[in-house]
Amino acid sequence: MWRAVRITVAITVMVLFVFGFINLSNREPTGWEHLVERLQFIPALLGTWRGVFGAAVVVGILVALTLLFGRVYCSFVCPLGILQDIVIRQRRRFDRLRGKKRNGTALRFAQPLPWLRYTILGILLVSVFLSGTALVAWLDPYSICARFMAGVINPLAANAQNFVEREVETQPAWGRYGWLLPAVVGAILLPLALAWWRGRVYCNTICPVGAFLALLSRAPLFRLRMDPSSCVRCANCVRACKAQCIDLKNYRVDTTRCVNCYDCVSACEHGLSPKFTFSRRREELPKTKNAKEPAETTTSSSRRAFLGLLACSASALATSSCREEEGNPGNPGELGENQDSAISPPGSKSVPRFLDTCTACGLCITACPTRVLQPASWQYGLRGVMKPQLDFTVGFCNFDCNICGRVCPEGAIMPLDLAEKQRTQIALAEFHRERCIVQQHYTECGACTEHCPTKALDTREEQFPSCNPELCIACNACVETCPQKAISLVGDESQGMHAQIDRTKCIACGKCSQACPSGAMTSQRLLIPVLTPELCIGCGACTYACPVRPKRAMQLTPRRQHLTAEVKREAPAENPVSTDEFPF
Amino acid sequence: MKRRDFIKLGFGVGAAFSLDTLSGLFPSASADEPAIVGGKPSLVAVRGGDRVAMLDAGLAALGGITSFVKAGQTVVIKPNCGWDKGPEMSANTHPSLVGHMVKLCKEAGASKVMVFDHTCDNWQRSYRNSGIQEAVEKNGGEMLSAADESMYRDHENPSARNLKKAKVHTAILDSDVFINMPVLKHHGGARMTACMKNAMGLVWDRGFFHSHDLHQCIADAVLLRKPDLNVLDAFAPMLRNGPKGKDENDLIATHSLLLGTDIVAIDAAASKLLGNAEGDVRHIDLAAEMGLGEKDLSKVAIRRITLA
Repeated sequence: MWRAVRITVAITVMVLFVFGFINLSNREPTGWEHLVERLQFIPALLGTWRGVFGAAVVVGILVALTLLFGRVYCSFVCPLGILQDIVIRQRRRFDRLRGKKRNGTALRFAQPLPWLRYTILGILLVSVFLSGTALVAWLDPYSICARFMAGVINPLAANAQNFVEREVETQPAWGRYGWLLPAVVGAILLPLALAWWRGRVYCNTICPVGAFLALLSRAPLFRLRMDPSSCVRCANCVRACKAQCIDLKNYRVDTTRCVNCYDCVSACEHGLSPKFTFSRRREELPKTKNAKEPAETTTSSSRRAFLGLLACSASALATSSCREEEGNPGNPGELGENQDSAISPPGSKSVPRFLDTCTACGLCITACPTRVLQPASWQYGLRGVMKPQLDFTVGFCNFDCNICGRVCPEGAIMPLDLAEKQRTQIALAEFHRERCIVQQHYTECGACTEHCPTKALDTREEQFPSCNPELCIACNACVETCPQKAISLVGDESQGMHAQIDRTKCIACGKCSQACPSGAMTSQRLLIPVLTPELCIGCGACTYACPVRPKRAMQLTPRRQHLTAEVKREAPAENPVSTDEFPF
Repeated sequence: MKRRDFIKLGFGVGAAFSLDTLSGLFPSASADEPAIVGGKPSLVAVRGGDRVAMLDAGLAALGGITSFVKAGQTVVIKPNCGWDKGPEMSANTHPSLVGHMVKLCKEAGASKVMVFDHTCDNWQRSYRNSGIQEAVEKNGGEMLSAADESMYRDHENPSARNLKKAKVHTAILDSDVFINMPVLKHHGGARMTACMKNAMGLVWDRGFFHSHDLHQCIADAVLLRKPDLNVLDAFAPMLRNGPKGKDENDLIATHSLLLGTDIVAIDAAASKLLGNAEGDVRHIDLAAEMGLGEKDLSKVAIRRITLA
């Protein structure tokens, strides 16, 4: 019964998990489709740190469940755990098909290696203090699976749909992770290969969640207990145990390593089951073998060391979270100062805060309707590998969308209500006039302003001059009046001199055509973009739309610290013509 | 809502039927106007009703939908559906118009009615949030994706000046009837977007337009395929901050609908609704110069209709 419940829950969780990453119709999330992602331990822990109430509740529930039953998270909720269980099941089937009995050494009781997992956990906590979640991103079981979903399963689903529907409904993004894809796939294959080899090795030696929950599950209230009076030592339980944690010689289950899969309960015909045990102490062991003693001491000493580390890290985290609020505000007037960084999503508040929190699970990347969110390679530096950045060559941040903050399970991207998101400055546009089509070709364009949602970018009519050499008398009037020194006289004495305008310097002020006495210098009225930086939220729509290549005329400078934009308010427009009859 | 729709529709149809007998009431009857040959004007300007009623009245003046759509034909309707904005923002053609047009085409016996736009914002959100997808599918039409290059085909455009070649959506190239159904708006680059500018949603590479003289390319795009019918939603045009718009303060109440076969005449008339002067919108002049239509409205057979 226990095992059936576990399998039912695990299958449900896995299906919801996979569908959480398949986003074919770009619908607004209701919140329920990413429920399973919110139940994950490390994201919830990070969310709690960032003050997300729901995440704190999840941590509370997971901790309570662990204290009551042991590491139920590892078999019921953790996607990597569930995938490992699937692999282990296939391994058993494979062995049966080959008519082989399982190699006797493969799954039997193994001596615990607590120092290894607590050392890794300790290193990880130190690394969080030093470099944010860079290392966590590679070790957190949820993030490992999630990235695989974002990089492989999500495009696979999009391709499958396109194949079935025979028209491209969503463009699959195979190249999303680029050269990191082998690492993304490798990170999930390693634990699965270990599982094929000998069960839940990853969970009990490397996984930081496993190590942390092991600390809480030293004596759960409802723990597995063998009854020496009824046990016949048939070892069915030992063969069934994925965690290699049943010590039959001592009638003991190592609850710190037990992942609560309850396979042993199903395998046992002699009364092995979780029993209510109201005792903080673990079972007194019949001291038969000498090997027990050192293992126990290792456990408690490393536990003590670990608890010390935990306290250090907690205080370190607390101080580091205070410190980052003083980060570089990114003066809107000074362009280019943050050029080295990438642009972090709205709701992440600042790049340092974001890099300290995000575990690069890629959920926001799959949920983003415009695909502007792409995994960074080196743009944030080493700390930000695989974490989402805004890539304006792929898309731009949709003004009326706040989905990334709503799906993020970690508080790395905080949920913003739409009005707040529409004022959050994540970057600042720069207009490079000399590259602009209007300036270069003297033809109107407006690709950037038509996309600008805040009207930080508007167009203004200016006077663009051109000289008719036939009429030019080379009087030098325009050359002298030009404030940009953009006009010079060219030609030679024999054929006649005439004025020539350097279009890269001209600012279309119209002074030359006013000064021209011969009517050679004429000007045409053209619309050219003008930027109001206070209104710009850095959504990148202008850059995305700008047709100039290779360097676009609109560029975005990241703001390492997000600011709040002003909002342009105008009186209601008035009808320019009569409303009583047609003006034609 | 259904009863309300029914009553609106009833009034619209009633107004349409009343036209021939009551035509003397309308200013178009004045003597110095160009004669409307065979009772079919090339531009119909309707005002004063709701959108659906104006569409019914306007189509009646053009001989009804059956003079454009025959039984068994495939129809493609190209609204302006480029932005992830709600119907009340006038950034996209109003869904009630598109939905009603789909219904009329179906009633005229069209075998298939397809609707698409190469959107600027994400296409799924734009289709959905504009309300157009729901309106089209409710009336038996089909929304086509235009979000991938595979839906477009190379098309030679020899009579054009700049846009000699473009990748055009296959639905436009292959359908029997092409109905152009944009919304009237201010545009920060092209100064105005109406019927001609709407053709930028037919092609894959919009950037080419922008980098090869926008106005000339807009005029050239008319030649990709000349619409069989143009319907311009000018109910609440965006007067500034177009074509995406900032808020509802950008809109003016014009309560008009322009329709007809002369794409240049409609755009010239629309330009006046926005208060533009002659020559402000260069692509109108270029298109007239290329002989794609008549920009001088005094030479156009206009039927003006005012609904009560």
